[in-house]
Amino acid sequence: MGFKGFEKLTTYVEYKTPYHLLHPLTKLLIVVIVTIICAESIWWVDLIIGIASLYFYYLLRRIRLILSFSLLQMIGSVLDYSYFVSPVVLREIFGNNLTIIWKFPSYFVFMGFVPYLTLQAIIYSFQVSMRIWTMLMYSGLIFLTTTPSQIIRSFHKMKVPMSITFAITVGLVSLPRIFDTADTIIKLQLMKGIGYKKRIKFLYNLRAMFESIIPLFIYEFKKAKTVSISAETRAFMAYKKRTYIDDITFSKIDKIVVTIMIAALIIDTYLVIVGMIPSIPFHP
Amino acid sequence: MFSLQPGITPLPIVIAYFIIASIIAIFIVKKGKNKMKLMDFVVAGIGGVIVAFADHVIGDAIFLPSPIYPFVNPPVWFRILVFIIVIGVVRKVGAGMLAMGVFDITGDLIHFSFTGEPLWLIEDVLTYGIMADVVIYLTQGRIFGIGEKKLQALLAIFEGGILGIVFSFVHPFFTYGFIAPIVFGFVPDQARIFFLLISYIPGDIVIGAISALAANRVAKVVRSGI
Repeated sequence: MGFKGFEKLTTYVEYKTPYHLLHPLTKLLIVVIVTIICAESIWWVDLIIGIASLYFYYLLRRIRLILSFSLLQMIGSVLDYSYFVSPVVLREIFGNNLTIIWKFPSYFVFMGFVPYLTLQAIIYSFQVSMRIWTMLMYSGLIFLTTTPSQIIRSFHKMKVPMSITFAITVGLVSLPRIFDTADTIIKLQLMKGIGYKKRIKFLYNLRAMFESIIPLFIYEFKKAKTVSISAETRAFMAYKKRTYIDDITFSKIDKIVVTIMIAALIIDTYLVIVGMIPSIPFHP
Repeated sequence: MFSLQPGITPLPIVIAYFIIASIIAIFIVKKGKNKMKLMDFVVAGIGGVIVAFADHVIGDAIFLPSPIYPFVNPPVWFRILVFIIVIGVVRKVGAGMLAMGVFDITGDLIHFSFTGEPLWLIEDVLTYGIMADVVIYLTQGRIFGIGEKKLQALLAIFEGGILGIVFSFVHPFFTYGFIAPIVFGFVPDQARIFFLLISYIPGDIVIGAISALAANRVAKVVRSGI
């Protein structure tokens, strides 16, 4: 997917989806409620909720990108967790008959590894990674459907100090540009011949990525001057409060979505409590 | 609910740390002589995003087998490298916490989603951020020897190394040992916490010292041009 792919996943997409109509705080509330539902429910609940988000990615023409990015992340999470799941926890969930796939060398125990990699550890790690996948899908939608000015206004509503709001907004605005700049710097490194005629290109690509950090710094920080002068010429931060011509309000659709999400949370919690939806045990 | 078994950091210790860190944060921000200006907010904002980019994009692209990871940890090393350069460029109390706040929010958006917020935000701001700000406060803005007439390199290595040591405690005890188990629903292992701590320290000290030397150079280049 490359840096261009990251840039596409972090840049606002001009399109009329139902998600675009929502207040930024409603989008944040959706992520929070999805987080709670995912945390208390079994993996297939997370999967269903995550799949629902694909509709919006389809409308935004980012479905291939988000699937490739999130599936890679899921594989990484499964690998990462499966080495360290305590057998005590696994026996609590799956019983005593654990299917051993791989036996680690004995000294791996000192690194916190469990002695055996089991099929049940992979299943358990998959369950853990599924909740991360769903949360990632919904937080990604915030980036794609919210403009920086909407973020500023919503932070303002939350009474966040203007200086902090400003720094965060500058950061968010800079993010796609940083991907773009890094991509350009790395390509320039490759054009200069880094890794030319070498068999393993990957290591040289990594070197080009590493070497892009310092030029990126200098390039972006020099732009900071322009940004601060522009803000100062508009008397930014001269007063603690600001007024907006186009203020964002909580519309009818926000109220409906918030009601649906709270209802979904209550229903899910009830079903988990009565045992109709199992959950991943955390404290054995 | 929370105990030493099977490996979670005890809740009273975590709460006590964050309360003390908050008090120190308020104290040093109030007492800091050089207040941050608009330009510093912009640099800290952009710097925070570059930290997120270096950690979650470049660092995570270097995939290593798990046993090597704590010793050679590209995401954490890149985070330390870029973060130390950012605070070296700003050099005002508050820059560390602000850059880490921006890093956390943008990092959430590109990597972990908002899972577990605001715990991660509090953690990043009141661990990495406050540690850097305390050093800025103690050195009165002349962090990593920037602005000193003598022994610039030695001061940079010393202060970078100190930051490397204190940064090493964050991931084992707060990230892996407390917040991640709550957020992702796994049970932490006590042996792994101590292994992470021991394996983090050498690399973080070296990277901290190298980053401080780099910060010393980059800060001069950047500040002379802006």
